[in-house]
Amino acid sequence: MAIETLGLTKQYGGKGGCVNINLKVERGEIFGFLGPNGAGKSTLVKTLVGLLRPTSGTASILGRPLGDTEVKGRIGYLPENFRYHDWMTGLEVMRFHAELYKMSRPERRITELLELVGLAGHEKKRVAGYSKGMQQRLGLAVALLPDPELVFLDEPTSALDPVGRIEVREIIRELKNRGKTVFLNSHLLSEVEMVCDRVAVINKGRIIIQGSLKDMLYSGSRVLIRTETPAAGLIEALSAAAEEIEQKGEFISLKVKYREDIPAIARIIVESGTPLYELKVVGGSLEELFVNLLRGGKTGDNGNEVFV
Amino acid sequence: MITVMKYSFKEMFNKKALLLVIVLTLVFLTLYGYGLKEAYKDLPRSPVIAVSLSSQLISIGLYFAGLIIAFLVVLSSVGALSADIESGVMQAVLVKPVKRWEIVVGKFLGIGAMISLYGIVLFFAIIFLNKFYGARMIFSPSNLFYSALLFILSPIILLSLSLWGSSRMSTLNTGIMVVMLYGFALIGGWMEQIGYLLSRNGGSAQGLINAGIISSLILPTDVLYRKMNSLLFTTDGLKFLFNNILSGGYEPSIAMMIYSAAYPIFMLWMAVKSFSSRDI
Repeated sequence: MAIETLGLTKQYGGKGGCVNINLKVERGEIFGFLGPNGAGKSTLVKTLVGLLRPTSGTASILGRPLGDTEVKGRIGYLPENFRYHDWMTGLEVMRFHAELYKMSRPERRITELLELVGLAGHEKKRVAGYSKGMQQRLGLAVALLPDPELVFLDEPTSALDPVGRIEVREIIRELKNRGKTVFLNSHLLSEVEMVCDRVAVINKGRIIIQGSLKDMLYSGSRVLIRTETPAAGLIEALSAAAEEIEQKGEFISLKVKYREDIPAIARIIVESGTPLYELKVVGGSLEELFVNLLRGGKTGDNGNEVFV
Repeated sequence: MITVMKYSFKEMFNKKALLLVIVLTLVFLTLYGYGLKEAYKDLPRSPVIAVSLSSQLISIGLYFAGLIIAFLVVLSSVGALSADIESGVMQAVLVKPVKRWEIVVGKFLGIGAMISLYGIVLFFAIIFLNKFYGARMIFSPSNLFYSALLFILSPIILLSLSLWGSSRMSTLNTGIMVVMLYGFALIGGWMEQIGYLLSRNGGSAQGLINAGIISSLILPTDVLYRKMNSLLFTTDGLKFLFNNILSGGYEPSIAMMIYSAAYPIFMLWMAVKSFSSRDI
């Protein structure tokens, strides 16, 4: 397990922050942490990397307790609101952080990373002269310095242009291919949708939903079916695998709970002898799900609702 | 810790504050040197008066040098931790495999090394200028060594206070606190000296002396200056020092010296303690 939290709470004077967070992030997965501004996303990440002391609850990172110094050598962190020493050049920042990571021969790795994040050629300029996007690229390079097993990225593309965002997405995918775990904090739904395996949504400091992204998307979507006149008993048979079934002429609309239910629906229709002309999933974007969740006012008071 | 120390040292080179202080120092040394040249040109023949004048001129030089170093300490250390927290630099540093105490101690050693280097250069520059223009003083090497040590201990004490402030307060508040307390220590030192002068002349000035002692307990920077001054002008048991509020004719007690030596260690421990439990 890369990250495991149990009732983790961090509040400021009894207010704000994040409350009763129970999360499990497997090694090698890209985990998206979603929520509106001020929901408590950064508080959780800062607590996990040891910048904030939890009010209550426990957590482990790569099998070690929070704040463990040894484990810090195996994680990378790109903070949301950060700056590097502006009197240093980009290269000096990299060398400084490589020394903090106690890397013995970091030069090759530094050159490699500066290439990767597109800062090659700018490394001898002072950080004070870097644009915000360049600083974010530098931050990403610093986070990846020790070839970490687990990377926390807090809004990694907030200052980047569209090309920069695509590049960062590619870097995240590459990390996954190499078996790394990525904890991605973001309010950019499309970004999360494109790279994450599993997500958790936080609102007002509490996790309101978490699980596999695919299942989550299908759970909120409807399936629209076009058939000829349904065979007798078809609707009853469908109700075993779906809910909110509505029939209007040759169209049947229904709601499934899990993605795996969709082929089952198709099988039931075919086995009933009803000719099936069309079956499509309507809706199911993360944006819709997200907005519905937040508007629905789910607060997860009695713990975290887990989908899968 | 070595990394933090190294980069804190380097950071000071890259800050404009150091350049400003160096320029100020050069201006001061030039003016001071010119003053010395004029003062020593027609030194009175009486050896007692000549020695007295020499010691006064050296005291004044070292007193002002102490102020310049204090200025450098304040500029370089009030934000040593807090400014890095406020700007977000600290977030990226603390998630590395370093312990928080290493950051505090590393900063202390890095800034302390720079301050000490600067202090030593300034101390010997003042002694050199005086000897060069004809000061009637003979310094033993051991006196010079221990005086220089005491001369730099004073800014180290100020640095420890400043780091403690920076570990728990904002840069602005730390700056206000350090400057105010340094001012108290200066005024307290003067009051104590005046108190002793009055009591020697038959007056009762215990209140003034107590005010000085209290200010020294809060921040023992002035007390070290006086000890340094006393040590510098004592040769073979003879003290060539004359009383005024700057030269410090009355030296501090042993207890006060032990307190002054323990003060930076205690403050550093407090800084480590408060920084270790601080939310970043």
